[in-house]
Amino acid sequence: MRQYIAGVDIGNATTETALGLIEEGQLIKCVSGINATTGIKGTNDNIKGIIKSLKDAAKKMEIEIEEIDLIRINEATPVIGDFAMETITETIITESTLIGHNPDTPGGLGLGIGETIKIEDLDKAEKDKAYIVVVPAEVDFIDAAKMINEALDNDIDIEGAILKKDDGVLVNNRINKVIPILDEVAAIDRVPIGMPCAVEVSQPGSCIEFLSNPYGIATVFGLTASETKQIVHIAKALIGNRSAVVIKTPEGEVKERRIPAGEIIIDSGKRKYTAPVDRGSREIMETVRKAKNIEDVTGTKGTNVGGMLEKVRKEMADLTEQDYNNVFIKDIMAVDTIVPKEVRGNLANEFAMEKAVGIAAMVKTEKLHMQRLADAVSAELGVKVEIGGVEGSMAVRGALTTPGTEKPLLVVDIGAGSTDACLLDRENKSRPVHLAGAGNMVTMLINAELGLDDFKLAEEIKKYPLAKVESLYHIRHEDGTAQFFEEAIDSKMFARTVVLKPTGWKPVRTKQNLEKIRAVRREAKEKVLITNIIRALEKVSRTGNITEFEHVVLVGGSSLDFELGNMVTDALTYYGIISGKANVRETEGPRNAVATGLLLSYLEEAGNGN
Amino acid sequence: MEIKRKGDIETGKVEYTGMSLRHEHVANESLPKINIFFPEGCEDLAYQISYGIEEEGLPRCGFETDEPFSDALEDTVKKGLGVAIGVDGDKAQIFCVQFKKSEPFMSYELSGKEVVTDLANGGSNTDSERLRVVGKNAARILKHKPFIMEE
Repeated sequence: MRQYIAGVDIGNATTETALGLIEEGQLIKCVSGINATTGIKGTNDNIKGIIKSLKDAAKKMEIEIEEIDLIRINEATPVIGDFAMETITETIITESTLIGHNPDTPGGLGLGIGETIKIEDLDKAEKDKAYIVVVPAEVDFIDAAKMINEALDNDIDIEGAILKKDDGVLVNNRINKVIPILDEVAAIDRVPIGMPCAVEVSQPGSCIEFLSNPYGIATVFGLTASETKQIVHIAKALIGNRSAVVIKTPEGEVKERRIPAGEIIIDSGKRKYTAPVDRGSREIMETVRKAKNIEDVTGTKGTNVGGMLEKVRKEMADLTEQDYNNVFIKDIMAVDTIVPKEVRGNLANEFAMEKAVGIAAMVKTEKLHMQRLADAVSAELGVKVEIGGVEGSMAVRGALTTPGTEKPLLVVDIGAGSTDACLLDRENKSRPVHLAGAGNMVTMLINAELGLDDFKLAEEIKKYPLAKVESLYHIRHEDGTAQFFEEAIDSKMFARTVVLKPTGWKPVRTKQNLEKIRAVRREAKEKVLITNIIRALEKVSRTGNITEFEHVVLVGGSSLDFELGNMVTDALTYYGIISGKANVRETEGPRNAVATGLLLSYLEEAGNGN
Repeated sequence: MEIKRKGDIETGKVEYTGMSLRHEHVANESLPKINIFFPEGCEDLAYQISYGIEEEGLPRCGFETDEPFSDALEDTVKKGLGVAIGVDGDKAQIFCVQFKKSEPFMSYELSGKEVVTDLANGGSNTDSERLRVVGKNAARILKHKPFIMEE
């Protein structure tokens, strides 16, 4: 008997097919098909994608779709994930007091302390006072230099200058005294006049020492101990700059405010656990671990975290057409991060690094409407369609075709919204786990920590390696190798860090260097993905000791990530676990595991006389 | 021809060769520079470019010539830092020895309006802003710094 059986896996991103020719209960030939998933997983919009994916496979088998005897689709895990970021500190300047900004080319050198004065008022300056000159955009650098020189000739003590335009070096080159000059200060009209002020510019390649030190600022302005306590956040915001200005205003106040971030309430069925979000991720994750079994998670109403958790719940309810009250959050993951945030009340777009917590949540519901989809496909094609089996255990069966694997085996599928894992033990029993936190959370962390404000770019940074364009004809890859080109590289890319997308390079417009971007990217993957793989192992382990496992196999599209496979191998070797990307049917790599599993499970069931 | 001006508008000091007087190498004629070539009457344009280069901290020098663009191209190969600029009333072009073609690496159209150097009295002029960018970008080739791109 000749039979054509197709296993179809409808994923969030792709619909994959494994089409097999079976003769006398033996698999003779197997081919794969792939197409982008059309519509949201589990809805009738998927049919288009399913047919295209089937066609792709049927073409390779050289048959028509109608010749297929049976199509098996997966029982999709009804899991959806979402994430949010909660800043837990905020620096506010109630009165303009600092300009901690890093123009490309400040002028002069050193530390200057004096009273702020408008350049046009220099003729009224007193001789026994020190001054910091404030130059608006209307005054050209030649005139500015002339006026400063005249004042210096009249024995006026000028200790520094603040410019609106990018003219710091030009002014510096034309005056008769070396003073620190800070330029490109956009909000120059908000600089208070007649106030004590300190300007610092350091050598190229080094950063300011005096104004980034709270005691340095205290020395400059003669502050008391309690006042010094207030300005510590100014010093913090100035760390790492090449130049800075601090102005003391009488009412000036800078404070770090802790934003009420709300609480996460975990219902374990037996009792409720609460974790305050502003105490950071460690406490939240500790509570999650304590709770063990999570029935539902809620957040304090009216806070970001509360809103985020309700949003996930609502989306899932809409998707599965279930009552909102019957949708429960089954897992959350929290990650600490530090994000650059604009200081409120700043003069020149200063940023302060603020503490934040990223939170991912995962929702599980009863069932997606897969049977309805199966019926629709059947009606469309005139081919029998059945629901094959649960996604996780199908994935394990597919993954087991990877050479070098054996039971017990844990497969990990890192999706966009959730990390799904499934253990197949020696007795062929499978144990699935679903965890919050996956690809999208990594993207969110990259986006936030680099201050990109561009989710698409962050996604690309996550997916592809980086390089630095070093000349018009060569780039240096992130591992240090240089590559030369025949044609000149687009000048938009020149001297920038670029993402090496296969379809073309994309410049990353940040001031951070390649090493920093790379470090953020790898750290984000480690914080979310590696942590989750270890959490998955802990959850399926009976003893709680993860060294009992031998094989961890990565499947799914996201394991095509260029570095994740190696990062996982590296991390798990520590526990004596063999891990790596799957190579389904020795040819497919990490793809097609579920579809292959659906096909193989049919063979097993047929073999058992079913 | 190298421009040497009595430094009236510039510094109130002696000879100005387009370089900062406080730098020791000011008198060093053999020091490689970014050279700016301009026809007679376009001195002000050349000065605006030189200010852009100066802000980036590189040495520069001006030459009056009838053939600013071909001279600039030739200059990149022969001497200097491998980067040269040609300017006339219509356009400014950056030439670069690394750019192995006999065409400009970057070209900027100018509006042709008179460049106003005295901004305090005459207001700003878009051409002078652009010319500063020309100078900065030429310097940035050598500094390996991302260019200022016009939108």
